[in-house]
Amino acid sequence: MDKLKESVESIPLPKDLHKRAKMGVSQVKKKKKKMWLIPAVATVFLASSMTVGAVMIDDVKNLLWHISPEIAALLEPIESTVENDGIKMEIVSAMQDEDMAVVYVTMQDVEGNRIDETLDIYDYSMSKGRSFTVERIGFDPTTKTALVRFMSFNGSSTDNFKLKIRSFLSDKSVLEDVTFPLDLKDVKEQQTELLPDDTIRGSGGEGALLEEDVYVLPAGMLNIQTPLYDRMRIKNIGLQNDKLYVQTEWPANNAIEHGEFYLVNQAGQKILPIVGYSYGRDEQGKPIYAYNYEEYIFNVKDINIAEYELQAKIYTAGQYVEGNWEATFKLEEMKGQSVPFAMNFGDWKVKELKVSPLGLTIIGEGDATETEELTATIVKKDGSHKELKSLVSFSDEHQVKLKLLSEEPLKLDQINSIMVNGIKVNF
Amino acid sequence: MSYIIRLIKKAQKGNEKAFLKLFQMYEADIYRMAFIYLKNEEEALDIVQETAYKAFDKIESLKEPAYIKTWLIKITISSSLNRLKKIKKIVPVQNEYIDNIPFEQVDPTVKVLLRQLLEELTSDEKGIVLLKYYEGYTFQEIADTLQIPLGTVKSVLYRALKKLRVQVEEADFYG
Repeated sequence: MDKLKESVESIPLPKDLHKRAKMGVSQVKKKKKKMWLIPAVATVFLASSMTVGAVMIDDVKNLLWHISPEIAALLEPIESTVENDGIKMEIVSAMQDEDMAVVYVTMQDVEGNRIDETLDIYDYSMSKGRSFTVERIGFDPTTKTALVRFMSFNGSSTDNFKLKIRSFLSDKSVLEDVTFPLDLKDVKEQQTELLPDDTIRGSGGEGALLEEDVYVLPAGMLNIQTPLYDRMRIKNIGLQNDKLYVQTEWPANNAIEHGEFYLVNQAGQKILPIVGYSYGRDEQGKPIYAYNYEEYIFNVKDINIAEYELQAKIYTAGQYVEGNWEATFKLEEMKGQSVPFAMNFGDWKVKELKVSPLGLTIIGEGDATETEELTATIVKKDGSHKELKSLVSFSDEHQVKLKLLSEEPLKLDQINSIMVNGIKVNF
Repeated sequence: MSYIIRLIKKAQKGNEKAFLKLFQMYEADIYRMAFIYLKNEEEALDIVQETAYKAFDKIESLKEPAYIKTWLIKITISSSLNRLKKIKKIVPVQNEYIDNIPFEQVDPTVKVLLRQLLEELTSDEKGIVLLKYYEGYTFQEIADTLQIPLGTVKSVLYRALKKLRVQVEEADFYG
């Protein structure tokens, strides 16, 4: 049987084998980065005709009227309130169809000012579903209450549904075009040193995966700060081998606040780092596994750095609150209405449309990788039109299922027809 | 193994350098397994990339470090089978791949065996042959990895070896 093994081993390995593995890892990094750096499109997508007229608990109703009268008129609250450390979480409404669940939650600080209009639920979990998203959709400064919408996909359940929040951020801001009191023409050549692998928390940028070994500047003694944000400082800056290294120190154990550094000249031309590393140093400057240091490396081979200035975009969060807010409740089932529909998109064909209070589902067969050309508009009986913009794909193995979410409630009894790529479908 | 465990723990904390060092130990096996299924360098490289992506994304779920290789192989096989389903419907499988492989001084019988392995076996047979003779798994380990009955593993392998006209050693099956 050695011949069999030998035959498999005779398959030559391509030169870019390891590079492709790195590309795979890079995809994960991009995905994870995207998840918390780029907020979801703020849509106010609501549900359901069947909850209209429901009796609501007075204080929640009043609260919701402050935040969003439209939502208050539509949602039926679930009496499920949890208070932890002076912060109250209330499940306002929870519903599902066959593809997804939507849960509306209010978060209120009854003791302080830890919840504001920048509230960002940081660490949370839901008991059902394969992917999740959360966004804040309203805030009432009087009662210091935020309304938050959680969505869970591919995990419908008839059992109890559990939602747990472990931490959130608030007092968030983004500081644009931050400058530093330094002149790049004064930056000197410096030796770099090998950074031990086990001290690197992460890396980013196009060059991140091409380097086998990571070299950074030695621990620096500078203390260059911006008056706009005093929790970060430039500790060292130097040139080596046509590259500019910028070493920055951030608050210890703070993985939340971060910056995007760049070089910019008077004409507004920006140069981004080819790579950035996140790692740690102890008080003596010795590399350790932590995330209190970020080092940005720029390729300055073809530019005169004296003509450029170092600037940054800094993401801050004044509050990072940990706790335990957990609630268990039932999801209300939303029924939909189907109509047969045929349309050919080349790689895939539509067979059926289904409307539920949570959105319009397009069902078909094929490989629906290109969905940019898909548009759908709800035509109501009163003649008004509403375009459906947010698209979620549940496609799998040649079975196409695309869901278009509405920015406003879909009341089935008010829909006259739906236009899909300009073709009218009567309901 | 303690080195591997250290790398896994670091990778589980999000350290991609540690993950890549770990993955590098297995990437040749992953590529060759994928190549046997897909018979195409570019497709096999896609599977390497996909396996790296899925593994790094989900490495927190790996509870037992000793099973890292089995876990990666499972991802490779499942990704290859999924890809195979997809490309079979789009493009006819190429036959000239083996003539394009830049072999270096390979025994002609090895080349013939490789061609048979690529062309004459079904996907199920390929998986079992690879796990048995390339990875050195026991029948029980193959059954556990592929989640199929032990008897099926033996019968499929027996059939595959007959197709390959490789002398079947009974001790392999009943020993």
